[in-house]
Amino acid sequence: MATAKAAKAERLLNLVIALLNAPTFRSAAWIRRKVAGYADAPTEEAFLRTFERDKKELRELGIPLQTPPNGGDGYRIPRTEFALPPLSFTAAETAALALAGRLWETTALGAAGSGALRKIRDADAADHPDAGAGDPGEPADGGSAVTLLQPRVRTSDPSFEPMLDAVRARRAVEFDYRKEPGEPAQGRRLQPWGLVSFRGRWYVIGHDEVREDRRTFRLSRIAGAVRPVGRAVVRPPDGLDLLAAVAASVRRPVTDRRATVRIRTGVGAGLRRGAVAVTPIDGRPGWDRARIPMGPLWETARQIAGLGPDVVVEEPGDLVDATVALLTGTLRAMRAHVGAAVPATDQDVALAFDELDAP
Amino acid sequence: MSIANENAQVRLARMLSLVPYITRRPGVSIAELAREFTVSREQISADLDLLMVCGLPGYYPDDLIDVVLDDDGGTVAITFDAGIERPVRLTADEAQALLVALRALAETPGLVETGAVTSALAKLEQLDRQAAESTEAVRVVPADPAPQLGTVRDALDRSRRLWMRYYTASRDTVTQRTVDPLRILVTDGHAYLEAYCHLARAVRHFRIDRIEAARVLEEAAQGSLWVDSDVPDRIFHPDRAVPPVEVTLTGGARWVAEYYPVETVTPLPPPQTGVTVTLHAGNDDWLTRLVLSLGGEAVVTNRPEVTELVARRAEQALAAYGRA
Repeated sequence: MATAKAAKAERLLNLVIALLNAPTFRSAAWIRRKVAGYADAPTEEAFLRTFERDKKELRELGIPLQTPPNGGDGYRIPRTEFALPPLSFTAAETAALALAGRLWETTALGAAGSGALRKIRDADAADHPDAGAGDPGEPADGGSAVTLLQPRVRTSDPSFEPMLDAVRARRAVEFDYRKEPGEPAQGRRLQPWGLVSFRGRWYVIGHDEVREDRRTFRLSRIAGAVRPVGRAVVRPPDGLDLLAAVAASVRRPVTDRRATVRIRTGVGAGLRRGAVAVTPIDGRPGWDRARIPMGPLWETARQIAGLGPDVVVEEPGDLVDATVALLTGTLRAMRAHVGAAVPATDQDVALAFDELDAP
Repeated sequence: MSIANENAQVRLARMLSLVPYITRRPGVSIAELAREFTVSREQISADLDLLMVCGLPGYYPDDLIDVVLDDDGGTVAITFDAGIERPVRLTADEAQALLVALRALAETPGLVETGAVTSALAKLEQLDRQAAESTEAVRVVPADPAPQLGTVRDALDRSRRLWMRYYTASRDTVTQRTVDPLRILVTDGHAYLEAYCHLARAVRHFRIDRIEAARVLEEAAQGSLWVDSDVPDRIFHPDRAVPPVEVTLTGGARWVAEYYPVETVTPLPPPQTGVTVTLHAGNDDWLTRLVLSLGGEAVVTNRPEVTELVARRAEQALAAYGRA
């Protein structure tokens, strides 16, 4: 295996060198005769098969194979299109590029990012031979920014790469999806339009072929493999802003409701942070009254219920009821030491509650 | 890193990059090449051996790529490059990796000088129009906006001490601290300040969107003697000496299994739907608040005293509503 692959890499490299240095278009016959590695082909047909595959591989690497404009037989690699053109980046731009190249965790994009950086660096060093004398790897001015600031986007989700491949290839995918942890996974078929990383999570957005509607899926909830299906036909709607679409489906709805709560002095910093007004309560030492903005009903109720007897809702009535329902459910469950029935919670509640902190 | 299983295309791409890389750094060591290209030294040596037998048609000694190996020093130089003098243009993957990342940085105000990001982006887009269009399919918001990010950057850039008022969500408290900033980390959707905290007397990570107020002080910040160059896997340091808690999650509480750094997730036996997770809780207060907030859909199963405390607090709270 190793030798066959080495032989192929050798043949491809010799082909690149031959066509890159060719003064004119070179015919397939010339290539078969002159370029090391092709002469072994037993028949014309075998040669053409190999040559076709090789051309495809070179093109995938971004190496331009030109044919004569008149449609004749021949190939060459124009130097100006083969090589990265002269680039001139300022020190600040170089620093920005360095950050960008390191944004991705080491996966497909990570390797591509560092590969791109290396090429740009070496292309730059070629244009300014003096500047490259020391260590062209680290820009003099940008070095500090790179160490002081370290952004990273995780792409370790197993579904990330196959989904990215499908998006690029414009192909539909099939996968099993778990709406909630612990729930059985259900088969889905999606025309993926794009991938979005929002609040530290990856989402794929697209057209759900079964439900015939736009849907957003969390990559972390995909169970098992992502399988591309059908032909390359996926077309995202014109002018679609992927980010806005995903953010809209994930972000908690904004409400302009307010609630009044009694809150024990010195506790509930989280509630107090967002409070519009906090005043001590006359005749009740140790207690404040706070006006707080209300998020979605159940999210606010959960935040308050978490503080137990240290916070008491005065109004509105539906928030009192929701908080009491949660506390009642908790008490029953603790007593029974098993899960108890609680008010149905919709998707919004679960997502919005993501706003809470890590332990 | 196996030599045998790599495909020829990947290897060709690396060899085409190796030539200009070495040409610009005559005498570079094999070890450095291995690091730079993230392959083994054996692989680099095998690549160099292969380069030596490739060259211009005719393949006389003067036609071949001239790789000069110094076996004693383990270094290498190239004196004839057979025309591979410049790096190959970016592949679609490479262009996409950079363009998407630059756009992400441009869309996080305050993180980097946006002007430089935008102009670098424009130059790259100029280079590859096609790639520029295809990158629309991946969008990234590295971190939520944080009002104090500018002040934190300023302190870091000028190596000054920083005063701040900070909300610690795990303890639900606000404290005032003086810190010596070390670096800004962006991961998992948030920007963090890594700093030596004079209150905690240790290096801590602060979520920048939880800094309520900040002021750059006149005193110089103490630089750290040693800065970790990697981004930690998770900005979360549980006390491993404390055994993990076991929590059963049902119904609407199952998001907990995804949201917090849980260690194990086990589905409940059917017909129940839900999971049992183990996790390292930062402290019992946090755990109590979490369970209380989940309306009975989360139960701690290996810490009876926590369950009792939760029950007592729920009962007291209900009493205040006259519903106990």
